[in-house]
Amino acid sequence: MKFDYIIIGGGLCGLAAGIRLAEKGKKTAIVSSGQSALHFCAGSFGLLGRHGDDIIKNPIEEIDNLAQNHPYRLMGKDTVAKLAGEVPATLKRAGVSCYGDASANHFTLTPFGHTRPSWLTLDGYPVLKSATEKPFDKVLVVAVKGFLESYPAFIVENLEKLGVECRIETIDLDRLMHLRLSNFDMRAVSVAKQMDLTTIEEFAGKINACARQGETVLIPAIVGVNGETQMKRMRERVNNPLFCVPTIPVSVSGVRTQHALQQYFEQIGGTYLLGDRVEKGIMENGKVKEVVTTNFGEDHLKADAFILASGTFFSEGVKSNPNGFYEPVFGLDINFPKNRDEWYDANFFASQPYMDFGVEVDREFHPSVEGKTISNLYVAGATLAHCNSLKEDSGAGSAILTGYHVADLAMNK
Amino acid sequence: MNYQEQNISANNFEECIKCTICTAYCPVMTVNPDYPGPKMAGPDGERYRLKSPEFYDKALKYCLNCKRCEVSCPSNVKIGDIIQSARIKYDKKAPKLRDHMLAETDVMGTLASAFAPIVNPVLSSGIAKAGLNIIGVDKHRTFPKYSAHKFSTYLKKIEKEQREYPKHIAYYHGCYVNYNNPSLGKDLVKVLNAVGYGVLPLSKQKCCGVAKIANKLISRATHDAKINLEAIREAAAQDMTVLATSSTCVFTIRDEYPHLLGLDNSDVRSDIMLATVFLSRKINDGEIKLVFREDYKKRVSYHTPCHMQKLGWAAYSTGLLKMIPGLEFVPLPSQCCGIAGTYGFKKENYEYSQKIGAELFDAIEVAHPDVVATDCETCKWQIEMSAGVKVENPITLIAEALDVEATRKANGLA
Amino acid sequence: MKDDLKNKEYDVIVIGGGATGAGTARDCAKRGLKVMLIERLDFTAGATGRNHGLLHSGARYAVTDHESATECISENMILRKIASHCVEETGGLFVTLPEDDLAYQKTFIEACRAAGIEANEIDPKEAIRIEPAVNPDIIGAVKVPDGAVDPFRLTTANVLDARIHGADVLTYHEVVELIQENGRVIGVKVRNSISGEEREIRGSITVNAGGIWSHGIAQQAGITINMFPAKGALLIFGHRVNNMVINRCRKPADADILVPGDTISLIGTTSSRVPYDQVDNMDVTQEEVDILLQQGCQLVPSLSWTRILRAYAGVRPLIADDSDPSGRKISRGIVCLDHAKRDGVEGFITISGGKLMTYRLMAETAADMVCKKLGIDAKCTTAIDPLPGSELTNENPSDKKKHIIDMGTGQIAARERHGSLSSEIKYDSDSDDALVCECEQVSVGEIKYAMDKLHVNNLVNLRRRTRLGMGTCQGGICASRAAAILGSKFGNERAISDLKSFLQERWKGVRPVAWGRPLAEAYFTAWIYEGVCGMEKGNTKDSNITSAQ
Repeated sequence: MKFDYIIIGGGLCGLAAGIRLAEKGKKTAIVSSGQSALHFCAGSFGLLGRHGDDIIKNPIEEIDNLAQNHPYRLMGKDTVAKLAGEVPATLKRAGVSCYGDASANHFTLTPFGHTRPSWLTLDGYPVLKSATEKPFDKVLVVAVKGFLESYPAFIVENLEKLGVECRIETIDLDRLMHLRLSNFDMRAVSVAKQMDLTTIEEFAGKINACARQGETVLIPAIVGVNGETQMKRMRERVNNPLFCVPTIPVSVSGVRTQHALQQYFEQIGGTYLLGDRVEKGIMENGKVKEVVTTNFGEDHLKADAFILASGTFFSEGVKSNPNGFYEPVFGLDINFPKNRDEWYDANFFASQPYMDFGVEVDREFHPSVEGKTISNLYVAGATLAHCNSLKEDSGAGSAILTGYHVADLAMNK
Repeated sequence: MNYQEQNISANNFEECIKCTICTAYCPVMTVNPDYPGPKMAGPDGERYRLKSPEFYDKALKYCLNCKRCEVSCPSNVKIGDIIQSARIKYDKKAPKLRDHMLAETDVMGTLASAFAPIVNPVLSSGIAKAGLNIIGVDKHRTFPKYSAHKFSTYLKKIEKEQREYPKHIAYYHGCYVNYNNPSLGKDLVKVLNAVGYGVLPLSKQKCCGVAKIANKLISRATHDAKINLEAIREAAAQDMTVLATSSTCVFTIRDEYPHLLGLDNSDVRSDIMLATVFLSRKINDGEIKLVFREDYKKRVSYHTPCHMQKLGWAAYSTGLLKMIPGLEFVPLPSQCCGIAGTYGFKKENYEYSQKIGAELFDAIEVAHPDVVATDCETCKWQIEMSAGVKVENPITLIAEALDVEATRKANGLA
Repeated sequence: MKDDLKNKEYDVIVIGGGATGAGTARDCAKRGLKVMLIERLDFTAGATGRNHGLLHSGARYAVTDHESATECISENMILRKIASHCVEETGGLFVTLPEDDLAYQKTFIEACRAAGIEANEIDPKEAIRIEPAVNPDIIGAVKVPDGAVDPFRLTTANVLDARIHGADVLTYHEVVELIQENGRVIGVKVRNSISGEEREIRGSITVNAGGIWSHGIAQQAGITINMFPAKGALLIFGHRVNNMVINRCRKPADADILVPGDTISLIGTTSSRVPYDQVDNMDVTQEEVDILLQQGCQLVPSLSWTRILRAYAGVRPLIADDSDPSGRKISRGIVCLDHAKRDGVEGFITISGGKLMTYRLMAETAADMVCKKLGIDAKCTTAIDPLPGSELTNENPSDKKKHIIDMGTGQIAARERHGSLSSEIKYDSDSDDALVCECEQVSVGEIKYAMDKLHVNNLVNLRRRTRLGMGTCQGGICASRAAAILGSKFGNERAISDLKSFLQERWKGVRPVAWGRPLAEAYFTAWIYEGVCGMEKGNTKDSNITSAQ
């Protein structure tokens, strides 16, 4: 099969690049070996939340302070700012509504009730002005009976530190009774799948029965796995202001966003090949000629240019063994110290060196094999080296923005 | 260090990092709380079963074998295969009479075809339904009608004229085309003939065995599988590609034979493929052309059967349909219809089966197509029964829309 | 500390919550003594919880140490009876590889027989048939009655039985002073490791069962015991690779035993001398991991491509032989020191040497000495009476089978962990059956039971009592769920900081083997707790219970 562009990896980065290309009418295919790390999305996207020990107020202004080879530096501050500005509208076209501005981080709540800097926060999740100021006067934290993936008591613990008056009410939803009988089924997405219109009414009614005046209601994010209407309905039905607090993944916001983007990509003509793996690339004259996938077998997938957005350790975009780190499809160059002890920090919560390892690229985001640049292959997202997205709170930002950027580079070539 | 360069484990069960994504895509889990879900039934349970077989959970029988867990797994764990292998290895309960009846599709088919005029009314009669219900077939289900004339007989009859075509393929028609829907087979002959391919029978063919595997009739399935593989080898030796029109048959022969029956098919795995794949590839390679009627108008949705999703070939079938100028294509999300072959026919599964399919049926209602295209016959029965819309194989729609004369001409045939 | 303990006068104070200490407490309590058991951190935090979990047949020692071998086989047979829920009767093999001397096998079998260990030479082909994981190139094989023993369950059961017989038990209490009066130890001063509060506890006899830490405890009375800390590192594999213990038939060396234990298999050990001041921070080095893998793969080739969950190391409390004036000779067997005779300090005993396998015999030896000193004539019954959880039930086997079929796999797993005591796990509410730890199938109900009955103060304690977080994901999925349940008892701030130390403790073992999927797993865990939940270095109070817990 022949396409204009083939993207390897169907997560946030691959979809961002794919949508950018397909919106310009390019015949684009995404090969995704299973579902992506977008499923862990906690209701918000970070662009650059932290740098070292500092919480970042203006991510765009901070870019010049990042290391020289950081993907944002390779893109340049202006490009990052310009592309970031286009993201909310694209997401909106795909049916994903959010709030935020790349030049001024706001904050949102984590499943434990910690505050976290955010660039874009999905509709229905809390948007806070500051990390340390009291975000609400009074809060009712709703616990759902039998649900182990949200932590109301921890939320209270952390919100009380900010001076919020909190209380917890446990709500028992009839519809979930049969799920509770199983030892496995009380997970956010399984629960959310039970949330039909009747359950929403029941849930809202029970919240109204216990919420007091002046309280902001926080519910676990178990509403709206299929789209945004359920959450809207929920907020209409509940008398008090109501927000979702993300749960332990797999998250409802993650599944919903993944599907919305994937469906939009397909609607605008993209081909999304889920559950297929690119086994190897076939090279010709320093270029990728075609790729071989498990499902297409002898029918190699051809394209003018290829984008590698295969993620990192989780999605096997970068793999490792005792001898080192490698990129499994093309064998792209990755730098790492030979001594295993230098890959890690003994403190689990410290910045782990291995998290910086990834594919090295030039200013055009082309990778190399044994020092030789591949001129029609682009690398984007978590696969790139020199970006510790966990420590920087930059995972979603670097996925979307480098995805956009390489799509532009590929089209302008 | 030469150690630990890669992980090797049965069905990659050790590759699992417990991300739990599979559980979000299991169609059974949310409707049937007795089913522990793919993570627990698969890699988690496997660790315990390796410790002791007493940890085999009989609820694994609720697995549809839809493989949507495998499709969603970012770590390439063969979750579905782990579950099915465990059922085969540890579930010692003998299959019921009902299971035999449902699984022995070719024996039943041969008998029923011979007596089709009698069998069809009987199978849809209240008395037969009550009888079937007693042995565990759900009363809501109607067996597909049996054809009075087997397709294999027809194919033999036309063999001489088919041999006159310049190129040939061998057709693995399977049970459904043979006993229930010979006209799909005839549609394939029409399309292939128009592009210069004659359709020949395989030297022998048995049911692919998907139902026997699902009902744990493993030695029967293996016996039939060996016959099928031999016949495919024979065809391959004559440079013939073997085509099928059922995604499940192809999937079973390509993937379940090695994974669940332990049969090595690596020499012929790529010689059997779905007819839509074959046509697409030939068109893409410029070897053949299809020309369609200008007066053809239809609104069509494509339903991706689970095994088609696992094969990863939906893009071929939808690509072909999109080539038809008068066809308005309305996409559907890829979701399980709930039937899963013989699964939905069983009384104990009927309710789950319908609940699983509910989302898809709603989506079809919204899409409001004239016809739903799909590559799987059991999906067809389920959707026709539950969504009240006509379902056809893409090959049938292509045959319907094809301008045979123009196509023959475009392919250099007189 | 509970008020009712304040002015109590004990017959015996046992220091050390390892198998020996717990066993000594049990033995003394069963003989009718008033017992106080004190542990500085948690039960099994020392060498007891950091070994192979091998139910030695004694065969390993047969050639080099006849006495240990006979002790082992005798205790082996006893543990099968009294601790059936802690023991897996797997059987064991001693295999000879092509590069080994097959003549050693004959010496080995003869030595085993001399020690009373059943050792039968079998055809290597037969060995491969009964244990398919073994290296197919073996040229000799001997079958012996090795097995697996779970040191966590064994110790917990001893503690429970001591309590049943009236003993008081304190964990997280460190002995900071041996109180002496007229040349006699009359009690101990303890410090609560969590609150810092100090108390005195009085007892007629104090037994020092502190393992490697015995050295420091004895020093408090001005007594010198020469300990030789010997570090042993082990690797845990992701699932049961083998179903029989596999040993190498040669003189004991590095990484020559692979033991199946519950859901996993363990290879070990290395052996290296470490300075005494290092015994509290045992990190496994790259070199040790490499040696374990190189040697282990010779024994069982599939270890080369099997997932490794973690690495850990323990310190063998080897003790100098008093008979050697130079103090350099290591005593091999059980050492029970009467410090009245040896050092002129009355009321103080040290029990050391030995091994997990002989913990009961060590306890018996110590209890005998205690009784002698107290002038009490009471018989030891610990070799006959089953431990709590291992009592024979009245169910006949067919009922039991029927019962199993009705149980979920999680409940079967709980029954294997707690034996007959699993009936105390309540599944009252419809979420008690819900699994917290999915890898090891630990339910809400089991956690509540452990919190109520098994001295659980934190997640690491909970792990040792239940296997929570010991499976494939090493706590990634279950730690937060379990922390929330603990929070309901101990407060949420403590639960969150405890969660952090638990993740740190898990990482400590994962780090030496963090490549491939285990690295992806660790990364995923970091994403959940830092990326999603927002835990980081600064925002939670560091637990005052360190990862050494």
